[in-house]
Amino acid sequence: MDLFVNLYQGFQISLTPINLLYCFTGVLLGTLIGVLPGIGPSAAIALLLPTTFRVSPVSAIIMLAGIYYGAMYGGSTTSILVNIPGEAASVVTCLDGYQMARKGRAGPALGIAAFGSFIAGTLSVVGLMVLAVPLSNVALKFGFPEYFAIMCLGLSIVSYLSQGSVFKSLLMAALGVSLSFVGMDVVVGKPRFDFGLLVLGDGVGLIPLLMGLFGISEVFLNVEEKTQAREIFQTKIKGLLPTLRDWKDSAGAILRGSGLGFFLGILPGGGALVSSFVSYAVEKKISKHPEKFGTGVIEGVAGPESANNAGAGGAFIPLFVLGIPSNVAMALLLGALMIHGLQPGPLLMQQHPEIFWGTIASMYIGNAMLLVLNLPLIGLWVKVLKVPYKILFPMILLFCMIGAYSENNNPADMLVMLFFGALGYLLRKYGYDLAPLILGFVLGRQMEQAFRQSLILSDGSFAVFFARPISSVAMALAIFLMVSALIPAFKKKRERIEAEKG
Amino acid sequence: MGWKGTAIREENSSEQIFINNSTTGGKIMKGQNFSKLVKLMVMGIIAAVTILTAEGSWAGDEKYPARPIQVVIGYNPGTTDACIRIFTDYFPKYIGQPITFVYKPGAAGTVGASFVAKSKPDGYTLLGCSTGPVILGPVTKEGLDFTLESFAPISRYVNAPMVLAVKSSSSIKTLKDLVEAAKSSPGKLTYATSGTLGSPHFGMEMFSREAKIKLIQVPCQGDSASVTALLGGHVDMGASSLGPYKPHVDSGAFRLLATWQKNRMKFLPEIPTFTEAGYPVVFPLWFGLVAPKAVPKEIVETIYQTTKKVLVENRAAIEDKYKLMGLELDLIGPEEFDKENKAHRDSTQTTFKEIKKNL
Repeated sequence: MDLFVNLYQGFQISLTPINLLYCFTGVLLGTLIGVLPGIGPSAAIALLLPTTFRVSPVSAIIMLAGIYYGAMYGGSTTSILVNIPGEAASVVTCLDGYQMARKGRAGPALGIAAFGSFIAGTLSVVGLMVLAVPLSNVALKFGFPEYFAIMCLGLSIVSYLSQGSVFKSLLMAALGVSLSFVGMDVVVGKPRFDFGLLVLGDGVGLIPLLMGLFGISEVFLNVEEKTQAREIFQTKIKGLLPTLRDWKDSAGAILRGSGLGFFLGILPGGGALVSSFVSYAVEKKISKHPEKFGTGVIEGVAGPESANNAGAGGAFIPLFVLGIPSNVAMALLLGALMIHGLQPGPLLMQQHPEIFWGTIASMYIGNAMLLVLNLPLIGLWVKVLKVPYKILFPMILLFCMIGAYSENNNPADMLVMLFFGALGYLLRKYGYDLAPLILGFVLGRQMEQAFRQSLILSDGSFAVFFARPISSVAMALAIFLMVSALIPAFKKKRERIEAEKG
Repeated sequence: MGWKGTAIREENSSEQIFINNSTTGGKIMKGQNFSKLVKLMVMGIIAAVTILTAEGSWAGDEKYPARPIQVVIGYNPGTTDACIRIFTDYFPKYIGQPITFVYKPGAAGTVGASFVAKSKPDGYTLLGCSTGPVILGPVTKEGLDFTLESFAPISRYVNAPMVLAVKSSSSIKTLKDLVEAAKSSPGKLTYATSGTLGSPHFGMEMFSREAKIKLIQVPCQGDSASVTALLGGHVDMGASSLGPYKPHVDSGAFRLLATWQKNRMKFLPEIPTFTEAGYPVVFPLWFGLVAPKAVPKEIVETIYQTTKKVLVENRAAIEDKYKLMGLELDLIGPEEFDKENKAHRDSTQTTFKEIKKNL
C-alpha cells in the first residue's frame, strides 16, 4: 500500500494552489511551443529554467516537466494542419494527419491526437509509478551490442514508412544516416565532414534539419503553386470531433502506441521520437488495409501520437531512478535538480520522495488540463487553414527562424536550416519521402557509436552482435523485415521490366 | 529581487511572446478573427527586439560595474552556470550589479569561448568555463580562433575532482590490484570515458603510460553515458569528474580507486591521489572565470576581490552547495590561475603528441 500512500502525499503536494499554477503554466507553455514549429521543448526548458531559481524545487520540476509533455500534445497540430511537425516526435503524424486535413477531417485528426495523447499520457504515468524501479534496472542490462541491434531493428521499419518506392525511402534513410556522421567523431575525437565550420562541429542540429526539410520547403512548394487555388479552401471541414467509427478504428492503435512508447521511451536517445515511427510501422503491418496508410487513415495519427506521449512519460524513468538523462530535455531537468541543491541519482527517491511523487501526481493533473485545454482549441486551429497564405507563410518562416536560432543562440543555425530548406524542396519535388531521412538521422549517430563500441569490446569480432539473446533476436528480426520488404519490391520491378519488354 | 539583466530580460521577453499568444488565444475563442492574433504576435516581437537592442546601447565612463555583467556559458544550463550562480547570487549586495547568463552551447564549449575571446574587453562579457574549452580545446582542436592566451584569467573557484571508479562488486579494490590485473591480461580491461580526447581520456592515457599497462578505452557520448556503461557492467572501469559519479558512490554502487587531483578531496579524504598510489600523474579539473585578453587589470581585480569577499563571508553555506555537486571550494586569483593553466596546457600538449601517434 506504500504506492497509494506515496501517491496520496504526491497529490497533497501537487494540489496546492501554487503548484497547480506552475503545472498549468508548464502545460500551457508546452502546448504553445509544441504548436509553434521550430521551438522544441528543450529550447523552451533551457529558456525558462533560470526563471525557476526562486521557486521551490518541486514547483520548478512540475513546471518544466509540464513543458516537456505539453509540447508532445501540441506538436501534432502543425503536422496535421500544414504538414510541418511542431517538434521532432510528430514527423510521422504528417503522413496521415495532413492527408486527413486535406480531406476536410482536420478536426477528427486533431481530436484523436488529443484523446490519444491523454490516454497514453495517463497510462505512462501509471507505468512510471509502478514500474520505474524494475524497468530502469532492465534498461541497464542493455549493452552496446543490444543497442546496435535495437537500432537496426528501428531502421528496418523504414520499409513500412514509404508511400511510394521502397528504394527511394531506403535511399532517404541512407542519406539521413550519412548526415548523422557529420560532426565530432567520439571514438577518434576528431571532427569530420564539417567543412571546418564551427556550426557543424556538433553535427547537423535536429531542429534546423527538421525545420528546413519540412517547414521551409513547405513554404517554397506552396509559393510555387501560388497561382493554383488552395485545395483546403474548397474542402468543407467535416466535424470537429472523432466519430464512433474513428474511435473504433483507433482504440487498438492508441493502446499499442502507449505500450510501445512507454518501453522505448526508457531507452536513451530520443525514445519518444523512435517510438512514434515504430508505432506507425506496427499499425501499418497489422492493418487490414495497409495500402490506405498515407492517404489519411486515423490509425496512422492515433498510434504515433499516443506513442510519443507515452514515450515522454517513459523518458522520466532513467532520470528519476538513476539520474541519467535520456535526451536533451531530460538533461536540462537534471540540471534543474542540481541547481535546486538536489542530487539526482539512485538516492533521490529515498531522500526527496516529494520530488518524485509530487511530479507524478502533477502529471495526472497536467494531462487532464491538457485535454481540457486542447479540445476547445481544435476549433481555433482548424480556422488556421483559412488564413491566407500571404500571412501564414511569413509567420511560418519567422517561427522556423526563431526556432533554429533559439536552440543554441547561434545565427549560423539559420543558414543550416535554409540549406536544408532548399534540399527538402528538391527532394519533395522529385517524390522522395522525408520521414525515413529523419529516422535515419536520429538513429544513425547512436547506431554508429554502439557499433564501434561493441567492436572495441569484442576486439573486432562481429560475432558479438549474435552472442547474447536480446541482440541476436533483434538482429534476426531486422534482417527478416528488411528482406521481406525488399522481395516484393524487386518482384514488382522485374514484372514491370518484363511487361515493358513483352 | 532586483534581479533583472540582459539574459533575464531576454528570457522574460520571449516569455512575453508566449503570454501574448495565449491571451489572444483566449480572445479568439470568443470569436475574434485570426489577423488580430497575428498583429499582436508581431507587436510582441517588435517590443521584445526594441528592449533587447536598447539594452546594449548605453555605455559610459561610469565606475565599473555600471550595469549587469554578462557571463557566457558554452553549454546548456547545468553544472557550469549553477556553480557560478552559487556565489554570484551575492554580487548585487556586494557590487550593486547582478551577474546574468547567456548560453552558447556547442563544440564542447568552444563556441562560447570563441565568442568571448572576440568580445569587447570592457568587463561586461566574461566566460564561465572549465578545463575543457580553454585548455584542452586549443590543444586538441584544429582551426579554433583562440588560444589560452586569448583570455585574461580572473579566478578559479572550485575543483571538480576527476576520479577513477569501478563497480563495488569488482574484484579490483585498489590501484595496485588494477595494475596487476592489467599486467596479467594486457589489453583486456576496459574503461568508459566521456569521449576521446576529453579530460578523462587524457587522465587515463597519462596513467597507463606511467604504469606501463595497456587498457582499452570505450568512448561514450558524455559523462552520463559513461555512468550508464559502468552501472550496467559493460566496462570494467570509468573515469569522470566526480559530479556524475557521486550519486552512485553515495548509493554504494561505485567504488573510487583514485583521484587525479594534486591533493586528496576534502570530502572524500580516504581516496588516495594517483601520485600517492605511486603513479605521479595529475590532471586538474576546475571551474573558473576568464575575460577577453585586453580587459583592464582593475576590472579583473574587482571581480576577483568581490568573489573572494563573498566566499569568505558566506563560506559555510556555499561550501555545502558545492559538496552536493561533487565540487571542492578552492579559490585562487589571476596570477596563480594563469601560472597553473599554462603549466597544465604544456603537459597536456606533451600527452597529446603521444596520444596522437596511436589515433
